[in-house]
Amino acid sequence: MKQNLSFAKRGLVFALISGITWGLDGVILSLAFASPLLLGEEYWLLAPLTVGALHDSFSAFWLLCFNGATGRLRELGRTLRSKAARPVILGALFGGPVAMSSYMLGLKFAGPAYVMPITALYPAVASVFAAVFLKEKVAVRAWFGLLLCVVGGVIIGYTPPEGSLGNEFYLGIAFALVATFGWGIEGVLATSGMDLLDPAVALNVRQLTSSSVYLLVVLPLAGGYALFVPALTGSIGWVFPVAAMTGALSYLCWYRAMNMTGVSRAMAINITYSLWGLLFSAVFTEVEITAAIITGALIITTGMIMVVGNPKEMACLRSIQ
Amino acid sequence: MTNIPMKMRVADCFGQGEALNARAVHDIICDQYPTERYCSVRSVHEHLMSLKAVGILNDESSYVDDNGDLVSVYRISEYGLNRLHKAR
Repeated sequence: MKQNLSFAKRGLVFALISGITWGLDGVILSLAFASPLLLGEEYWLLAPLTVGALHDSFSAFWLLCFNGATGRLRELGRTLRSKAARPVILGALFGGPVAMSSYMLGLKFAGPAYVMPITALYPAVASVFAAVFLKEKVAVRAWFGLLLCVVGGVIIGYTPPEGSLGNEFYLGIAFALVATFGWGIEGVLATSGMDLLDPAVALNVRQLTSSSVYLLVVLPLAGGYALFVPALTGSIGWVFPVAAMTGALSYLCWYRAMNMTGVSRAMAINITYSLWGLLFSAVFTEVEITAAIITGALIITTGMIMVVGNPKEMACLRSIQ
Repeated sequence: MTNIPMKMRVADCFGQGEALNARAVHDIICDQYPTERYCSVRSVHEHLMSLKAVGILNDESSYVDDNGDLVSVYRISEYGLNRLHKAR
């Protein structure tokens, strides 16, 4: 029992590291988004998708290095050929290009005031899917905790609406919903695959799939590779490998956490990235710590404690006879 | 040599209903992953804990070995058998 609990508690630590590093990843990537190269109005869709493609491609490369250094490269080959990798590949499509492209389209058509709160619901969506498809045990207290984490994330990320709603508003909302379901279902599909696969190798499969689809399908559809070389060779070129390394670490911890402590707990703790992102922004940039941020932080912390709850519940994650 | 991912092969060792610990599983599979650093007792132990957490394996018993280390013995669950069957 003690051994099992220590395993699950290590999963919680991984989930927390994944939230912290994802927050840092966002702050580093924001340096790229602030570059004049990516700010052109005509690149509203191509710029974030190019950043996504570069991020996931470098991330796949760093994971190849990690798996090579830890003697897992042959395991990667075996995993890519196995049936158990299919849900991971499907999850990569949903959580990578599909969710990211939908999120960007949602922001464009409906604006951040509506899209951010909708997409912040992804841990709740994932927990519902995990309870239904993986039979994951989620206590009533943990559902409340999860709700608090989502509310805290919404308070921190809230942006007031600007101007009137255009004709494309409802299309934007639909895209936001697709992004929310995409991110939510990725966690469940990946966790299902990781039942029989090593998390570090499964993640490498995820990033290889995501980067391939970005490079071969999404970017050509979104306008091509016009920004690809200028982004890499310009003054912001360093941002992509550095952010991707932070992102790879974050994803690695997130995937391990979902495998070790369950989707709902890992997701609820991972969503604290909004809080960590603001803390890093306050340290490295000129973002002010407002009352809303402090309120959001307190709510997220309370929610996290409620989700983690009684450690003994973590010894067996699923309701399986 | 085998083309089966190691974690799946670890679970597969329990397919006939045997109760096994990490070292016994490692002894069964090590010839199938020759010269691979990844195939270690430690990796097998980590996979067993993960398989236990998601309900594929159940704790059968545990004991303290001659070195004073706690050794867990696992057996596959009904769910684990179904899961393996679907993954093959």
